[in-house]
Amino acid sequence: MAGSEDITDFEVIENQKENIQSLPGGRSARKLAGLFSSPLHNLSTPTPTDTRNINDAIRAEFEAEIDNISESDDPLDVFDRYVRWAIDAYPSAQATAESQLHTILERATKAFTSSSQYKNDPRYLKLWMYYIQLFSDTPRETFLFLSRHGIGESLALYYEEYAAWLEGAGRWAQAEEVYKLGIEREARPVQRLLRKFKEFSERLAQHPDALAEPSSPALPTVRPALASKTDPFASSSHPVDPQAPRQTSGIGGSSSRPAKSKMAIFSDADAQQPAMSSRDAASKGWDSIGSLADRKKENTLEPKPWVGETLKAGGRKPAAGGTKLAVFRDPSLAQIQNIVVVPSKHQVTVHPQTGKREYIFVDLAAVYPTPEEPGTELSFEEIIAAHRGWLDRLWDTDMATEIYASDPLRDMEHVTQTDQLVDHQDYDPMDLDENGVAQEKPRELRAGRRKKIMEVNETQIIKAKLDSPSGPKFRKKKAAEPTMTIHTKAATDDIYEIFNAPLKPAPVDGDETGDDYDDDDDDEDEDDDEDDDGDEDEIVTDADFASDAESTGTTKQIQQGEQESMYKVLITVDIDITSRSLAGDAEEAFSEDEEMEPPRTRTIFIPLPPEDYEPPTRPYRDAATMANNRLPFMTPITERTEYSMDVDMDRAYQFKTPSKQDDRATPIEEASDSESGGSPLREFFPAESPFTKGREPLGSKAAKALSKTGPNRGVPVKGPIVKEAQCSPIDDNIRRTILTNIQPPLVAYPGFYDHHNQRYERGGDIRRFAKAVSRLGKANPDRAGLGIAPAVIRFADCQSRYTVKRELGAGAFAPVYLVENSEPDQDDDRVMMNQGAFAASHRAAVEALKMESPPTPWEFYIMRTAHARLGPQHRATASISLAHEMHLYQDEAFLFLPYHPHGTLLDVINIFRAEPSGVMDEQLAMFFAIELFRTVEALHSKGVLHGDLKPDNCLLRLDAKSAFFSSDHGLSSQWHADGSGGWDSRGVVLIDFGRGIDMKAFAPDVEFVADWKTTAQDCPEMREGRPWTWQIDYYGLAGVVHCLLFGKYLETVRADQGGLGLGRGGRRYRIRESLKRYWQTDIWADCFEVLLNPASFVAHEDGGRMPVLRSMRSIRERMEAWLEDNCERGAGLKAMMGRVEAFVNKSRR
Amino acid sequence: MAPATQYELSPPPGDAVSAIAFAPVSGTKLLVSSWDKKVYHYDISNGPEASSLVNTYEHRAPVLDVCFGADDNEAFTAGMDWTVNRLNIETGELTPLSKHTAPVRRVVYSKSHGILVSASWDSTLNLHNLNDPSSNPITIALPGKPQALAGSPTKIVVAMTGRIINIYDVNAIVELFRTGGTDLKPWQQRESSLRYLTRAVACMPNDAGYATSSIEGRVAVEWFEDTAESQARKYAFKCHRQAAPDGDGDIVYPVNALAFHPIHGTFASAGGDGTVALWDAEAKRRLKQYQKFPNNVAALAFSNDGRYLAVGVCPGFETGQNDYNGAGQTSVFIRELGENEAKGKGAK
Repeated sequence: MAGSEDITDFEVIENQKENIQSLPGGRSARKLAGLFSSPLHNLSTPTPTDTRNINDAIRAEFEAEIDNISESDDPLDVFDRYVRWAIDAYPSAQATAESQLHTILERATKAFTSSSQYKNDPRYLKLWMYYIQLFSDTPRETFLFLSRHGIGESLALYYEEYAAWLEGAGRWAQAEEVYKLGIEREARPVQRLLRKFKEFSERLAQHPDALAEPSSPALPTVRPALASKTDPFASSSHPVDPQAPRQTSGIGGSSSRPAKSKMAIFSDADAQQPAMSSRDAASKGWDSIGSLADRKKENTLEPKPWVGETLKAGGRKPAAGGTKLAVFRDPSLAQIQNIVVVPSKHQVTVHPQTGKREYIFVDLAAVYPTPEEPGTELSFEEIIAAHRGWLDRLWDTDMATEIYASDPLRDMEHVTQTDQLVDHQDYDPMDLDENGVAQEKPRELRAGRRKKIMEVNETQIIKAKLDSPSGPKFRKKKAAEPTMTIHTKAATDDIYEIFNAPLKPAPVDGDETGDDYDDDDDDEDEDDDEDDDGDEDEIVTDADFASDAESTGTTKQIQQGEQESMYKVLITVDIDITSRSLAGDAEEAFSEDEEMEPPRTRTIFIPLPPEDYEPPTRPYRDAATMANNRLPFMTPITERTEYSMDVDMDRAYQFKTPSKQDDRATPIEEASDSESGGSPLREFFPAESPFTKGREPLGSKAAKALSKTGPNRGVPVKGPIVKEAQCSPIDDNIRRTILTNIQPPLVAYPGFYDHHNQRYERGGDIRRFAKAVSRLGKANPDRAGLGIAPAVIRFADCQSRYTVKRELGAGAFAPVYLVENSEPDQDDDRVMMNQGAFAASHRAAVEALKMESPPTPWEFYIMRTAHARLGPQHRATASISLAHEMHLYQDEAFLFLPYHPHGTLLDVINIFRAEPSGVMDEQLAMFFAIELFRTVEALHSKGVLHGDLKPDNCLLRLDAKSAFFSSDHGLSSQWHADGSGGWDSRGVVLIDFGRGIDMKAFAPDVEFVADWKTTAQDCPEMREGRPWTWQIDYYGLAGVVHCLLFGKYLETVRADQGGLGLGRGGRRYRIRESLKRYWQTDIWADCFEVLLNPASFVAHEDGGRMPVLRSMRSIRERMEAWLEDNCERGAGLKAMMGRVEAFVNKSRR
Repeated sequence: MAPATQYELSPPPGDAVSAIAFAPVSGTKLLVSSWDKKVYHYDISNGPEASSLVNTYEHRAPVLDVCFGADDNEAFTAGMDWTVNRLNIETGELTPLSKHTAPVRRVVYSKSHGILVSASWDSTLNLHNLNDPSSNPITIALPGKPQALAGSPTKIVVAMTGRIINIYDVNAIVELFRTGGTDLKPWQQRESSLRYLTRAVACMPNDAGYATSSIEGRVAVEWFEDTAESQARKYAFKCHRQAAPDGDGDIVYPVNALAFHPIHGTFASAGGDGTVALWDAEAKRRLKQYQKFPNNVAALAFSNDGRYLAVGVCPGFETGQNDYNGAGQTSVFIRELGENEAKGKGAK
């Protein structure tokens, strides 16, 4: 240490420079070096403890001196030294609380504010400057404080510092003012101040606009309160200074506090003078600048006695047991009698205290049609009665009322009678919006109304909530203002031309809102049109496909030959006006044609519609899409299906009995093996994307040729189409090969319309239309679709016209639309839909249309194959969506599917996720699991893999009948495994076979490899890059069952010992969740065991290989046995099913 | 999981339920009035298995309310056809009692005095003196359109539009019949404690007060006694609310029906959210909230002995949809109450 006495070791300082606070006046290097090199050990850095010990000793000395300060000649000197020491000793200064520099400074500055001795002492001023620089949060205020106390009044330093600060803050004018004031006061040293001012002036000159800015006086000495006082604090009874509101708000402030202030203003009620200030308590204001702690005192709670205080605890949770009723006091009661409820304002209110929104479920606008008039509100009963027309009915006043029997004729009389009445009556405002009443009673009102609108022809589209592609949430609009569109002659002529039917003499009348319906027969001819329209809409919501007794269209009649000869494609999107009325006329026209085209017998099943779906380019799962998949938990997921080449299907199945169909299916396995290029068809399937622009058609001609002349027909090719032992099942080439080689070819399938050499070109219009509808729907949910003419799709080679209603699900490549089929099947056998066993390909008035672009017939092929192989009698057939029709174009593919409006299993799961329990009851989960098992088993037994099982691909199957006639033959409360008691009308329908795999097209021991990016929702084999086959469906099924049970997506964990079991069955998985104690844990555990580790169960199967049908079957049978025994436990399966149905019905409303 | 003591009556009414009434003597006999113009007569004494529909009584218009009369074979119905009918349950005979000039919303029968009061949307009450069948009904004008009506042994409470509640003294009505006057002043006229339209009103069986509910998820409990002390006891509370699906705030459902338990004096409320809750008015506590019903709960009734609670479930009308139809979605549930299920827990 001695050696470093003369030579400062700058290295020490350098090492510590981040700990050294810079001071305007600089620091002594020697002191710093001394500080940082340990005096005791001569180490480059002293230990903190050593330093602290030394500092504490020195500090104690200073404190002792301060204690005796009253004895001192120059008390400021003590502080001066103390502060300087502190700054030196704690170079990081204010950064460390340890230095207590700010306390020292505060004490020092406070101690002498009123001391005339030090007022103009530069040392004292310097202490203030330190304080301002290092700690003051409001430098300007502090400067003003000094000015008021006259501290540094005659010291140039004060003016220089203040001006410098002002200058730094950009207040040039004020800075100048300060300088001038200092010069005027001849502050010492005058020369330095003048020099600094000169420098300032030069700087100012460089900021020509600086002075232009508005400014307040830097030192408001002009104020009378100040001007009159040279030493304001000489007098102890200083009045409250208006200049310092912040500090004076304390006394009595609480009384004048604004009543409504949101933030409590801190009131320093008993503002004690800080200990350091010996000032009279009455003199408030600028007498004290306040210590740092003082100025922040509102942030600390003042200690006060605990007596009478309440301890807040536990949040706002209601006490367990009974909920205490919160006492509601309506503050508006005081104003009595007239509370104006403004519907728009009160429908959604925000709780003033909690900020919680409250949505009033009731439509206030309906209840309070004229809110400003008290007492005019209407009860729900009145509203409904008005809607149904009861309010307008006059009842004879004589008391001899006969009792009416429920005689429909009598009712009709009422109707007609009231029609006349109604015409003369004024409706109350509410009724004017609607066009009728539901069902039986209210015909009259409607009839009356109808007359008024007879001349106009409106078109409109039912608006849809499009947020869930899978859950058709159909909200009826009320109060539709119909779009008035002109029924042009041209349009009418169109109809004539197309349908070649006489137009009725009566003008085609429009449908007003399209939301009324009847299923009873109408009495007036004129009404038929409208009713049909109404039905078309309504059916969607009521799922009452079959009850549409009035639709007269015939089945689509497409003969093979006709199809082939018809290559004129005549599909138009009718952005016109009249499509609604067209529909009506068309139906009539067709009803006349009926006899000429006898309905074809169909023996196919009619299940569900695929709702959301997109066709895809190559990867089975595109990485980008997958990234989006399943992100929002439990929201409908869009996915892509790979596309592939088109071609054919089995034309024969409609004639065959199921047993034969199996035989029939076998040839598929045996189709041509010429995939290597030997096939003449090869040329039609170039490697690049087949439907790119300008490409030549894909083999339709060839295919047609095939089907006609049948070079391959009857030449069974032995063996599977694809012989590779390992491949990717969604590979374009593989698919193309399969489609090319199947027997019979795809074109032979009924309902397959191959125009792949033509372009449709109107697809964009349809999409735009649907977008417009959905946009409109969002902007104005009640008026969706008004003002847009619906898009009508026509195909040259079939008679049905399809009116696009709305988008059911939007995907990037395959939007699914809800369409109206102009030619629904006649509904002669209502039972058909109900009992899956007899359901043929029944065309409903409302169907789903999947538009795939780029087009691919693959899904069509897989769906048809599944149906064909299962046969119509198989119970599982009802659980597999049926492809009605496929129109394949070069740029579009139209796949028509049945529309099942009930939403998906995912919706069901979500219903229950909203419940406190978060999951559905075990019985219901078991019920769905059995349905799924049965369906998947059946598919697998026929060699078809779904490939994409997940809750959103399972639609609810609630056959309409029983919902409507529940009183007659509803569900029995006892569930039967064989489907009796109405239970076969409840279940699921699998949709979206775009990733389906036809195992019969592959060699028996084929292994698939996934060459796409996998996600957690793929089966472990895929994720781990191991080959797989049936596992994809087992894992998918496990995932669905898991969702049913837990309301969460499946997560699996390794259940084996973590060994390197690379062999089959070496790895074992189980679900991460644990089964609830009260569930049938053995059944569920075995269920997941089989599905997640199918390889362990192959030993029991035929041939010792997958599919593990027997294991699945045994699990399903155990489930069935349990459910039969326990279906009435608790609420009962029937009641739960009822709830689900009620929910899906409601959500569609 | 709900206990097995709840079951559905079959066959259910063909359209929305407007009211349910239990017979005054038999605890297993009930009438359900429906918008399908019928009154359904069920007997639940055979338990859930047996079909319980005994009879239906067809009216010429939807029936808005039904109540029992002096015995189990007499009932009164309020019809959309402006008529108040007496219904002989055994024979099915319908006798018009009086005529309003608008649909009759509610009827209430005061057993102790043999008075039938009907309230109609023509803003009148008809008072029928059943002890003197020859007398003509007396029509009383109301300041508003009545939407709910309830009777206690000595009071009749009429809730009207404009948030007006009139309370009539039954004894004054008797006096009116005696004197043959036609002018009846309400015993009290009050303003509803609730901001929105009153949906239902029910009187406490002990004649102490009544409860009202509004279309906006609130129930108010008030006492008849017109003292400051008693009036200070009145309160209202929020109920039948559900968290909005988007997590932001609550959806507020209407409270469609109220019913006091005849023995325990607790009351049940039925909401558009499909729930039924049991409340203890004295203790200001919720005793129970039953599992959600599949649809809006429109009507409620306790049986005379308090053993059963009948719950009428049908789609709600509240959103003003113009194509309302309750067919196929309407059901009546019977809940057999446990011994102390509806017993208050006592004030806390």
